[in-house]
Amino acid sequence: MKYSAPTYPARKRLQPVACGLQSFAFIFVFTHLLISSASAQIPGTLRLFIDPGHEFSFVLDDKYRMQQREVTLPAGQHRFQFWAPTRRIVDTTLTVLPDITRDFTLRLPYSDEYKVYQEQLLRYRNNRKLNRLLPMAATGVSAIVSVSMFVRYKNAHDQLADDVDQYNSLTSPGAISRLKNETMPAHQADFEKAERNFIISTSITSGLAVLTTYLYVKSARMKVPLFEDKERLKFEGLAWVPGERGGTWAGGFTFNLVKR
Amino acid sequence: MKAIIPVLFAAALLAGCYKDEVAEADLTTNALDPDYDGPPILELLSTDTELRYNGFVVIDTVVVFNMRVRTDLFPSPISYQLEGVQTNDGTSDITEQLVPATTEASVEHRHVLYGNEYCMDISVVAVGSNSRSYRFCGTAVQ
Repeated sequence: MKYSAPTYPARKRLQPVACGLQSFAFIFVFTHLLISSASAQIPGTLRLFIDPGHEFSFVLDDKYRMQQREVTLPAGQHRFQFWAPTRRIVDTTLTVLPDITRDFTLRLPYSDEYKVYQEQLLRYRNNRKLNRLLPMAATGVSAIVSVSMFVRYKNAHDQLADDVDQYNSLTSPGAISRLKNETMPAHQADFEKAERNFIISTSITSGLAVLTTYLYVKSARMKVPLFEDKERLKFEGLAWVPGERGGTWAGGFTFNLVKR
Repeated sequence: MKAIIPVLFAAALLAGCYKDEVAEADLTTNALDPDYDGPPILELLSTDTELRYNGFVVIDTVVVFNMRVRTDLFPSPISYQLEGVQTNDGTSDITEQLVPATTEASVEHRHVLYGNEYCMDISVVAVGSNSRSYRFCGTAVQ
């Protein structure tokens, strides 16, 4: 049995249109790469308007830690990680256009730790004010009252002294009797009342002074909240920067040689 | 704050100085005080028994108390009167207003009988009120 040889359709030649598209695509891609490559070599400038403007830093393209307000970079996309003390790291990508100066504005948000620290600091300050100013004001007011009571006390005493002087100079037996039996007992009562008030107010003032001193000393011992800038640690870990002495890595092992 | 404490201590010390109270009962040094207990301001110089007439008719017999008034003990020179109250019936005899320089004056006990002793509470009257009174006695003699 013979089989006839298979027949295949004749191979078609490439269509001229298809051939044109391929060439065009090739030329387009090649030209684009050429232009892109050429434009990547032309630098552009970014002016950074960052709040806070005086102490922000940034890490550029995960490599370079910088602290300047204007950077000139090859055109293209660049990664920026901005940070400032007390602020949160802002990670963003900026496109640098060739031969163009662009402005970039950013307000770095406060870090959560800093907000918590601010609240703690406010609470600490309020507590300190409460422990210092309030007792001090109360003592001051009490001291003023005490001084006022002392003045009244002194006046009452002076009044009695005046009564004695008046007694020695009066020439009317009736007036002398009235002075001794009516006026002086009333003044004596005033004197005793003023004396009592003065002693009470002085005691209160002394008590408040002791309390104020105690609270003052106590408030001086209150722990001041400390701010630990965790964002700084994160930021500093983004890029290694040699220190003043070049920077080294060190490691160590410890062997416990004590025989148990 | 530190300045307040010394001030309070000073005030407390001053308060201590004021603790002496004035006792009215101790005030007895004014010669015109009804409670005066110093040297007597009235001294009896003498007593006389005298007759009182209405024309030529004897209407009464009296004992006259001649007094010396220690005006030097008065707080200041003042016009005054001398009043004597009869102890037997409470009637009184009062002098005219005497000028400050006057140091002697008399009051009389009325309706006396010879041989009997009569007493009077005599005091100085100044500005309408009486000083402490002193009791003096005298006998009516013929």
